[in-house]
Amino acid sequence: MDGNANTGAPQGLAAPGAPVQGWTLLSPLTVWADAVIVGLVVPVPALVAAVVMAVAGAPAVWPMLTLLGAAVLVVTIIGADVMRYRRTRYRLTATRFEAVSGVIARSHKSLPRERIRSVDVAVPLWARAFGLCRVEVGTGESTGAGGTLALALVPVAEGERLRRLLLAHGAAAGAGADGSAELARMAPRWFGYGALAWTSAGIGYGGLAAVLGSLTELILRLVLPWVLGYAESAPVSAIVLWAAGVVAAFVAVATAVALAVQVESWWGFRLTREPDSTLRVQRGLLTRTSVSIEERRMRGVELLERLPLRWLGAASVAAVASGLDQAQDGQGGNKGGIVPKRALTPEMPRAQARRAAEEAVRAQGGIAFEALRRHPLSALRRRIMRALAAAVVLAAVVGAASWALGAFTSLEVPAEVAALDAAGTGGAVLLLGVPYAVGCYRGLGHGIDGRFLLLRKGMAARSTVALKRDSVIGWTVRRSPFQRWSGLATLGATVAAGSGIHRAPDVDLGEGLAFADEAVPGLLAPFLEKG
Amino acid sequence: MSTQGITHSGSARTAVRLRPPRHRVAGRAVALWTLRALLLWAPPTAVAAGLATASGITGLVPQATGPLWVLTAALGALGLLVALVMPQWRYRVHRWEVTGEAVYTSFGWLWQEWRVAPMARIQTVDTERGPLQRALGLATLTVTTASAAGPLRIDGLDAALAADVAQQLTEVTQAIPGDGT
Repeated sequence: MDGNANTGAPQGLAAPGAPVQGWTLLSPLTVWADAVIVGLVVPVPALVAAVVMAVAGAPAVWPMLTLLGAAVLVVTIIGADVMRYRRTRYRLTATRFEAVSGVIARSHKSLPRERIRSVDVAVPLWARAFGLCRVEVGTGESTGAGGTLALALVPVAEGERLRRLLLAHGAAAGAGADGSAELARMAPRWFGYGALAWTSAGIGYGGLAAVLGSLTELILRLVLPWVLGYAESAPVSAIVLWAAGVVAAFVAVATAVALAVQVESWWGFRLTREPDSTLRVQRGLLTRTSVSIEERRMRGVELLERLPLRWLGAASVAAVASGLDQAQDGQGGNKGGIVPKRALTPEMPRAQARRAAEEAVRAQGGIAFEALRRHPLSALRRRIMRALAAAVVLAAVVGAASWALGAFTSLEVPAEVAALDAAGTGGAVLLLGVPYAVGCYRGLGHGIDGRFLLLRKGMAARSTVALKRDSVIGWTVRRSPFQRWSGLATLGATVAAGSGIHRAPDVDLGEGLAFADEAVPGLLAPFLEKG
Repeated sequence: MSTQGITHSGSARTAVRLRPPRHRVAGRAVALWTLRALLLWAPPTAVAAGLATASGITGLVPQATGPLWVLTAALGALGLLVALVMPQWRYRVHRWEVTGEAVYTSFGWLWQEWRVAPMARIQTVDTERGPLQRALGLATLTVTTASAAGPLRIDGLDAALAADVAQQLTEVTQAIPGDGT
């Protein structure tokens, strides 16, 4: 594995960036770009801390030590980065893409070119000034992080060259970048959906809540006494007005953050089909990102309709493709961003999202996302039973807690109050749970349309996945005791992508098997009995 | 939200069934599952019994002794019940079959599952034998496809048979071109 380690001995005399025995170094500007970041991230807080200490009247030695420590840290990090730069090199041979890296422990990674499935190019803000980008090459292998190779940083033109060379498997290489067809493009109005989209709104509200949480002490000490003092004298209407104002301010700030996140993520979004048969997603304001997905790796598309936005008629599209998913990223997260790599579009009007989804899998005649078969009514019964069970359990818990409060503490809790608590909880759970159960049931559906197999499920996050029928590589049929009782089954189609399986929960067993048999002829047939 | 265009499938109930795979696993698998159940349930039961005994001897919290013995009895009874019922139940469910085109398995007891993978999509075939399985001359055969979910596992195969099947599957899948995706 490490046979080439010695060829990577320091080549101090070679011109930076020049090929050494076919090997290329990273851009020498890498060190400068990283130094800028280190130079901002480390000394600024150190300086602030030193000033605070000096103002607070600490002995002069402490601010001095802080600054000295920061300087040592900066020099160490930059030094390590210089070493990293000098000892990292990569090359492209006729059959393989290789990289050697590591200062102390050398690693030699070598990917066979015909297995390379994705080349992602990202331009972080600080690298943009230097004309650099980060390149991540993936093979879509499902085992660990061994399938990816990242280069940080190379010149943007070099990144583009690598992207084109690595993805051109015998396809008309260098057919020209202008031969790409645009499937979707950002419309400014769509940024508005960011206010309610799950990721951006989550960051907006979550971030604001975290900031307020860290200021709890301050709020309790300073703001709360003032509020209480004011509330004692002020009229009720003024207090209500104030409360509404605070809530409105909270929502406004969170929304502003959410919109900013959406703009940063999706600015200049374009979904294109490149001449080398790849789908390419380009997006991002500060960090420009380009994700390329080989078309023959596309197993299907997913139309995602998440709740508040579904009511406003919005949807987004994600790819069902191998070599893209979080589970296979090795680290389990979406490296380098908040938008998953499989995202093909932002939240956008449903009709356009549909069209983009159809285009992404070349479904000229369209895909009948709505013409799905409904699941049996026993599936609805199961969901309502779950809501009832949740109501009963929660009511019992709350009732018991109220009763225990009266029995074991000095509090006076009459039996009627405990019963009322229980009934109230149960009622509230039912009020939410039954519509949710009905929504879940209405979300269920499956069908076949031309080359595609369609599976839909979900209430809050409704997902309709359209799988290419020839990419289904197996079936699973799972039955719980209750499902056996009501003649239902959970049908799963396995595909070489993402989580690996897409399920149709609670289909009628016979109907589901017939459906699976029709969708992928021959696979299940030898194991089916009629009559 | 739009559910128009959905057709009801209730009336046109086609009477299609999955037939069980052809072969049962080895009869010794019952012993394997019984031992596994006992090994799984024994430690919590022993811990509960130990706590109950300690509580009885030391008398630190006299009210706890009774409930702890009840807990011990409950865990022990549940464990015994599982160890008696589950293996027989599994033995009736666990089945497997290899045809020219596909591998077909069924497994589980309360939750039961059937899995089919076509020969052309098989990527790896492994056998594995834990200490219990070695003692009983059994093996688990695992067949994976390019999908991250749903490997086919045949638990409790006779070890020699498992090796044969693995060999046969490996030969067949190597003869098929492509990487199984």
